[in-house]
Amino acid sequence: MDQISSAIDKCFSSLITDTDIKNVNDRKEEFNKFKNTGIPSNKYENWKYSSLIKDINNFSDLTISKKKPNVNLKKNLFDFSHDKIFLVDGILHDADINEKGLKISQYNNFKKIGNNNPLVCLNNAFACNGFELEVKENSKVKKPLVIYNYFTSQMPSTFINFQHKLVLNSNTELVVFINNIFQNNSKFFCNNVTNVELKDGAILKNYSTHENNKSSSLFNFYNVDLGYSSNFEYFNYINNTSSCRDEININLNGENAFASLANLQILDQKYNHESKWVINHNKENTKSSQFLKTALHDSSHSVFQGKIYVNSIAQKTDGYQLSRALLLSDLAKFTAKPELEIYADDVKCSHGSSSGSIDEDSLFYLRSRGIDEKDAKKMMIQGFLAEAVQKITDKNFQQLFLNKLALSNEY
Amino acid sequence: MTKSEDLIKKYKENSEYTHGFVTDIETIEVPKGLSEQTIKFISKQKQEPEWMLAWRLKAYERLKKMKEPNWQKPKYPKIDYQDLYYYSAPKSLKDQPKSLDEIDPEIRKTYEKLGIPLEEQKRLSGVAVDAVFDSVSVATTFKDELKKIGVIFCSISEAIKEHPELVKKYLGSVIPLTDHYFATLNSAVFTDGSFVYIPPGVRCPMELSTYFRINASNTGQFERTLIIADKGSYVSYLEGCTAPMRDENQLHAANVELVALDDAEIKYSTVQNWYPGDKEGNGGIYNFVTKRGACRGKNSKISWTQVETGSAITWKYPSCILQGDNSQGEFYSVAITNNYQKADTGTKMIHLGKNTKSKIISKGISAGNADNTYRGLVSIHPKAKGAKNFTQCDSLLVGNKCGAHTIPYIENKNSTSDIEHEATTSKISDDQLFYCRQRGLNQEEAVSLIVNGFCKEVLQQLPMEFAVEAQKLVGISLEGSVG
Repeated sequence: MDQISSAIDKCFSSLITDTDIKNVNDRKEEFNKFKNTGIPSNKYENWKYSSLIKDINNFSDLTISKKKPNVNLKKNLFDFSHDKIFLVDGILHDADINEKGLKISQYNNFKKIGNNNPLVCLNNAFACNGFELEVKENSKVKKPLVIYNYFTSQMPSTFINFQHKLVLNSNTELVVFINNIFQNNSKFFCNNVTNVELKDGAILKNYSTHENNKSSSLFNFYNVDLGYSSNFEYFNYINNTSSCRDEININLNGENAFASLANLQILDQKYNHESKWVINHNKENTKSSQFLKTALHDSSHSVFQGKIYVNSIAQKTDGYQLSRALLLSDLAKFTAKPELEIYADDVKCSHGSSSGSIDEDSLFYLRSRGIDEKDAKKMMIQGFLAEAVQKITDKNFQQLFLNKLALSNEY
Repeated sequence: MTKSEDLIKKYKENSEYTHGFVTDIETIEVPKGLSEQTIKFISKQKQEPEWMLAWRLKAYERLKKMKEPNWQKPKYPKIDYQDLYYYSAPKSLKDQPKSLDEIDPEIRKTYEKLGIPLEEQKRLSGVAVDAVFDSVSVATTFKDELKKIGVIFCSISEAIKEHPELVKKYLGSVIPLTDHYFATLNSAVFTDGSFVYIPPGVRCPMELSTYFRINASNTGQFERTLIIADKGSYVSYLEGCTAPMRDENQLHAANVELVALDDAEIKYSTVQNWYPGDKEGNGGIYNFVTKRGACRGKNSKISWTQVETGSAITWKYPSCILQGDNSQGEFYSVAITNNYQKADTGTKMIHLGKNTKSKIISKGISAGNADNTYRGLVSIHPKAKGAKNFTQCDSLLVGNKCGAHTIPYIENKNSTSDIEHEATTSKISDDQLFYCRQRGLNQEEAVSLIVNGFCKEVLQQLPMEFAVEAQKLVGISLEGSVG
């Protein structure tokens, strides 16, 4: 543990001596905020079940490099027509944007994301990279925007800090698909913070995949502010990530705002994944939905901490939360903390959580119809997980993820 | 005044905290403060054997190194443990009464006011009562009859003297000395409580009951209850509590330990009606209680039922450790908070044995400026094959200044287990109210009826004698919260 904090200290002192770095004082302030807790321990309520921090504590050295590695960007492209952003090893590499109304720029200003989470403070102190994306008023972007996020095999850094910003002005629409590509087998720690601002009537559909990441420790943080009648849809496809924590903080600040979060997870070996979602209903007539489906093999571990907070003025709130897990091995673990904190009386809030094994009766039914055990199990797990894909409202992407699920070998 | 207004007035008069009287009797108290002296004094007063004192001092040593927890939702001002009295007993008890008739008439009157079946009523209701007044067990009724079938039902101080082998074996075996702050505090300074032992194969023929009352001001009440159900036995135990109205907050930190051996069943019911403080939130009891049951034997069962209507702050989690194969744990709870009351309550179900089952039904109701939190843990360990859990926690909000919170922790480490959790939050709908009012019920009656319906699943679990009282309490506690 001391090793990691001295490694971070070392990185920070070399960072602030760099002449290109701006806002040094603000960074120092944020860094001191981080130092108050350091890498949080399991004793903190919010990090109670976290495996990520254990993995971070195993780092003895961290390096930050500004070198741009060579990578063939033409590979791995999707065959449907889309706009592209390329991120390579934590640096905005290239962008190919043709749609009107979309404006992209290199993120280079220090913009603090106010949060007490020590890892967000750490990100505020270090982040020098990322992109800023703005959708101009009344533009409904037709083509999806795909963000290719490469972690290459020649990655020079082991400590990566991104900070992205997405602003959707009034009456806009955008579909973003984040395709994380891991070519790297060495250990690194990536801290990624995204700030999303949805103005009145804006609609953002945010999909992402997270596959075959064998060695990294990832921390992803989303902060989303929603205005009047805006809509945020989030879907994350997680298949074998070594160690990852996804935190999403949603603020429903305008009436009729709606946020829908969904996760599909397949984990095996010793992999672990945590989701910590907080939804703050701050205005009347706001709606939210949280939906998780998880299949756990081997000695994998999944954690879900979801919270619905309803302010006393947020009457007519509708909050929904469901997390379900299949435990497919004796060593797999599922931990959930579905929380409600409600201060308004005219609300409809419910949460459900279940975990268990494959239903023996259903398995028997399938086998009695001549399907062998392996296929029967596969069918049931796929059916179970596919429900999460149904939460996607964009038909093309729904199909894309269904195909992905069908082709997956992880059963 | 119209007839209905008259009725409301009458209803209101009846429904104030009616147990808020102080009994004027002489008490002996130890000098203030928590120290080795105090503990030695308590032990001496109770003529305890050496080993008991050593046990208490060990707890005290441990306590010195511990910190008060502060993760709970309802925060409270710091308690000055040196400003508390740890022992208070009615003086006339010094020369122990031999029978009920010898009891101080003042104390008897107190119990009559409370409506506890101590004398004539005892035959009618068939309840055996162990009444604890401040810190000392006053009288245990029906003792002889229970003795005939081998049931031991007495105060814990008596048990320490007369059944040391049982007490030594089980005391602290469910809630160890080294548990959390308040449990350890209790282990050091506990003054009295009940002790129950049901011998193998005996089905206790009547409901056993304890009645707690905090009378002296500035005292903490630290009672300790130990119930052991030997192989194949059954017992149902009731607990009720009240306290006089006082401006300052009083601490109540009890420990309750249950042990169920093979095929045994324990049913533990609580109706908690400590003084909740006035309408502005002054005074009231801090109810920081540790209750834990261990299903040690195969096929054993422990069932907790609680109706929590009183106390300024309720902070407790009656739990079950399901060690034996096929053992079962149940938790039924109604927690009602009104005005400035706060509750943080729930349960822990720890599944260790094979095919263990647990069921949690929790109903939280908050009104006024109250805060009501359900916090629970369901933990299935790797060896608990075929374990099952079902949890349902519903909250009802009356008014928009109160809060209802649900914080369940679910840990599943076994693939053959099933865990289900459900929670909803709602309010009393206008349709329901309209329907009731249309049929001639006034607003308060309608609310009381709807709330009683909401809690029905839990109230049904209470033994008859308590069910009626609990229903009334539910109505009274919400008094003044609507309209």
